[in-house]
Amino acid sequence: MTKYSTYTTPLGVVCVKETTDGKNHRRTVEPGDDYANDTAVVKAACIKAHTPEVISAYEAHKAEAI
Amino acid sequence: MAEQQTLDNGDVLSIQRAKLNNNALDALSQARTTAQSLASDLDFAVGKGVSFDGGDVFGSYEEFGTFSPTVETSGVALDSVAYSFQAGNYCIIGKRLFFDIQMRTSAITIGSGTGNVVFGGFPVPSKAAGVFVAGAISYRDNWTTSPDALLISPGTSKGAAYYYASAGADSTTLAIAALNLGLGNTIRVTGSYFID
Repeated sequence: MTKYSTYTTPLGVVCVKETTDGKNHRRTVEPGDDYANDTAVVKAACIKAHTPEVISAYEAHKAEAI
Repeated sequence: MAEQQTLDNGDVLSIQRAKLNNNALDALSQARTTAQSLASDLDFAVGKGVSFDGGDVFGSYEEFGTFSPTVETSGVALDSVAYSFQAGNYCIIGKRLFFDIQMRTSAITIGSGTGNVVFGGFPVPSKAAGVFVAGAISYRDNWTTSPDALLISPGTSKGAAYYYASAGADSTTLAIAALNLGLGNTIRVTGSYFID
């Protein structure tokens, strides 16, 4: 059984930690990413964090940063 | 102070009572705690952790695990990328994240993809108010033009690929034309960066 825990960074990136049998795997869901097929826990975090304003601000940040 | 009590047979019993103040009781309680082993993990809520002498809180002191690095672009996404291997290991100590990447593509379809080569999939974004962190790509194989450096962008879980056009030249972004669509583009990287 996999345990999911999430937190959201100041820029709206949802950080996901998946723990299975004591082993950790991490990934991120960035504002604007498609999370439709993700787990319920991750979806809930993304719905809350990824508002249109956050997505727009993150796109602007990426355009400068990457 | 000793208390005395006379028993039925006439003997006198002397009892020395010890009085412990609150500080001593606390010390005793702590000593007992440190002498015991916990049977389960201590699980702190997000943002909470351990602080020593009122210093910074270690919210995630020494955690290790895996992640899945990816090849992406700075513009429109590649149509598809398949991997022969796609392995990442990380270790978080305090606010510092250390990582290893070993990745090799097996097939790439650029399709409508545009922009420059970006490596994504890092386990946690770098510190939002931080600096661009550069790491050397110490091993690469099969690229049309090989990346030499990785520049991790503040607040994101991505890093742009750079190369040196000639010895001593400035770092230059790597257009997706650098990708070898047939043979597997391989990189092995070790690096670290600060996280929020």
